Amino acid sequence: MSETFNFDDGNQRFEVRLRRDENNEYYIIIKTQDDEEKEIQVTAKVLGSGQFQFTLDNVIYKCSVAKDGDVRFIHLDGADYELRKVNEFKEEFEETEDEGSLSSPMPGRIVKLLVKTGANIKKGQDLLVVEAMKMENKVISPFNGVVKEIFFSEGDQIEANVPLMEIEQIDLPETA
Amino acid sequence: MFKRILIANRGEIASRIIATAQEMDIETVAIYSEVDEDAVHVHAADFSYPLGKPAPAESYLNMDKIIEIALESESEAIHPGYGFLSENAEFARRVQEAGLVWIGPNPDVIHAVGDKIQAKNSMKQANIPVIPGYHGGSKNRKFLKKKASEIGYPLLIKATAGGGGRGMRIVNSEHEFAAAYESARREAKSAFANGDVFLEKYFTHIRHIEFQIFGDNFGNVVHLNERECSIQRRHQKIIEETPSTALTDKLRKKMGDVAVAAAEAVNYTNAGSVEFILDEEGNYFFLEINARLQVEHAITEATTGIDLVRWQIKIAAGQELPKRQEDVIGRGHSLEFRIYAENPENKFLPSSGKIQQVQVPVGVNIRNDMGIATTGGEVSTYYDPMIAKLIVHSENREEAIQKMKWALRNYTALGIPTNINFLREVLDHPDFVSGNTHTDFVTEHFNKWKINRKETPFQVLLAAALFEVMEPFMVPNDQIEPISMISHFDPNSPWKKVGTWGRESLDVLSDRVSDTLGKGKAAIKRIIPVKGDDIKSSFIRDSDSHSPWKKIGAWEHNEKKSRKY
Repeated sequence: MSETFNFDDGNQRFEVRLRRDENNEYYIIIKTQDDEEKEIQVTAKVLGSGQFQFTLDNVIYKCSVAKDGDVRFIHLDGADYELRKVNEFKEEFEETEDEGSLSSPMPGRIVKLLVKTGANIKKGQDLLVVEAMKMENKVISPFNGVVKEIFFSEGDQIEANVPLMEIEQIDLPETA
Repeated sequence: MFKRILIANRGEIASRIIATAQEMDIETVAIYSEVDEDAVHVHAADFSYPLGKPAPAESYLNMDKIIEIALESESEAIHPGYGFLSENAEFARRVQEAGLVWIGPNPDVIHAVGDKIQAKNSMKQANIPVIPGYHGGSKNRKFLKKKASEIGYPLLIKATAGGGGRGMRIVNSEHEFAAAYESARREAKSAFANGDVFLEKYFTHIRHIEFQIFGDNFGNVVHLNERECSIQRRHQKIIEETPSTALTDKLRKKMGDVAVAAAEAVNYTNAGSVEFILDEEGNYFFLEINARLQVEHAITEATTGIDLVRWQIKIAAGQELPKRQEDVIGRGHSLEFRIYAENPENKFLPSSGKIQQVQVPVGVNIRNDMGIATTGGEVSTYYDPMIAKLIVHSENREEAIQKMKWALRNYTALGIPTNINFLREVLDHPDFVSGNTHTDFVTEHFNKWKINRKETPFQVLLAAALFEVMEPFMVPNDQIEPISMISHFDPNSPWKKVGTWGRESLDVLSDRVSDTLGKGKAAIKRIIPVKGDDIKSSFIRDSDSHSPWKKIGAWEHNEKKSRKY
């Protein structure tokens, strides 16, 4: 029997197939976008929670993996990697990112709002100041547009990656 | 010597202080906020007391509460660590007024060096070179702007009461001044409750050199050589080393003498560091004195063989400095890399969340000062995002770099963004390897840095797939079966004070003990149960089939008075 997994490294999608034969031995079949295929025998052993080792061509790899939802954080051979496990069926829904909303880059507290609802803003303009670990950080506008709604007020505590304001994007003609 | 001390701090530095105190047969009292119930320092201490809400002002900065706990726990002294209340002269004074010993510089010294303007003036009087600037204390923006033009751009606006890069702005030209001034004042006011600022000439390509100093109550002062802390991001240090590649023996002697003179100028006591900037021509200027144990103190410990916390405690207990200047000898080379929960690909903004996998390198002359348990843990948004320090020591710089390379390759902290990959690349940079370091190193060489992601190796993809297959067979760390061992009866046990077991206090106790056991420790510690209304009883272990409790035996109901171990 074989099982197929899909991962995305941010640049490229990979398909990994693991095959188990009648002697309970694992084989890996890797296919890149160029349709190259490889099958190699692999043995693996669990070392602890999120920790295991595997052997490929007599080389031993020790590995740690942590997961957060679809994301896999992997430590292997002195380096860290981040992959996203792709579920083919869910894919359709996930691509709809909220394009017009601006999210907080980090958790912290809003110390100053520099724009008001209805304001016309330019790309790169300072929108608000977030204080985290007692350092002030400016959040700037990613594009030209109009502020439709601001979801927080000055003094509010915010988490990372929550929408802060909704901006309607306007493509202004390049001013000379 | 003290019998019991309270550590008014958290995380790695609290654990580190606890370790030395315990070596010295001093009992330790930890304090913790609600989000730190499971923090490393709480498990390391002999006693622990809750502070309540996590916001620093209500917890680790809550002077009344901390002093109250110190008295209640019969502690004789308070060690403040670094950050929080460590350089707060008012707190130091109140600790002393409460009849407790302050393990740090005396309050007058903290006050004298904490006001940076006053400190600079004292240094000028002692003929120590200071950075050109305006330290007059004016709050008039127009006047300051005029002064700024006199000093010349680029210049720095710095908070009078500041530190750690907060309330600090670089101003490159006159038209940036007004905005930078206002922003620096606002940040300083929020961080230090004091919006006053001063102006200083801003140098580029300088090194940050600090000398560890120690003074006792008998007028003796020594320095323990320098630390170079030039590699910074957001004006905060990330890499430190000793000795500095920029100091010749002659310059070290000269600057060391100046550092001692600076300490003597303010009658310095206990541990501190005298910070200098050093330009490319070998000119140095006094920057400030930090009246605390520094984050990077461990590299000095590595090269001098001196336990700085032990010295701090001895001096606070009224002993003389254990060594004279000529007995202080630096040996080999030491590096410290700070591990932060932050995202180097996004302006080094702090990250928070759950770290699930932590594995640290172990080897000869490798030291890990950990602010997070090896089973992982939550990095909260309330406190500094530094999660650990990695310190190596070797015979020379080249070998120390080799060792650090190996150690960083074998460092795992997975689950949220950290700076580990970034640190690995800094270590490979030719300018770092050659010792050509300065405070603009990161902005110059790693501006808008992105991790060098080439093709993902297929072994990584294989590992990801294997993880999916093997995950069901992995036992979570907190369910690994512990060995239980119960410490014997202690006549001074705080248990006596506990009285009847309340249901809530039992929950807290069981949470702690099972966590301690889960981390592979084999002793049940004395933990003072807290009053019922202070407890957020998060989980009840009885329902947990993997709970080690079951094996230890029934806790409840059998004995109503007290328990013995």
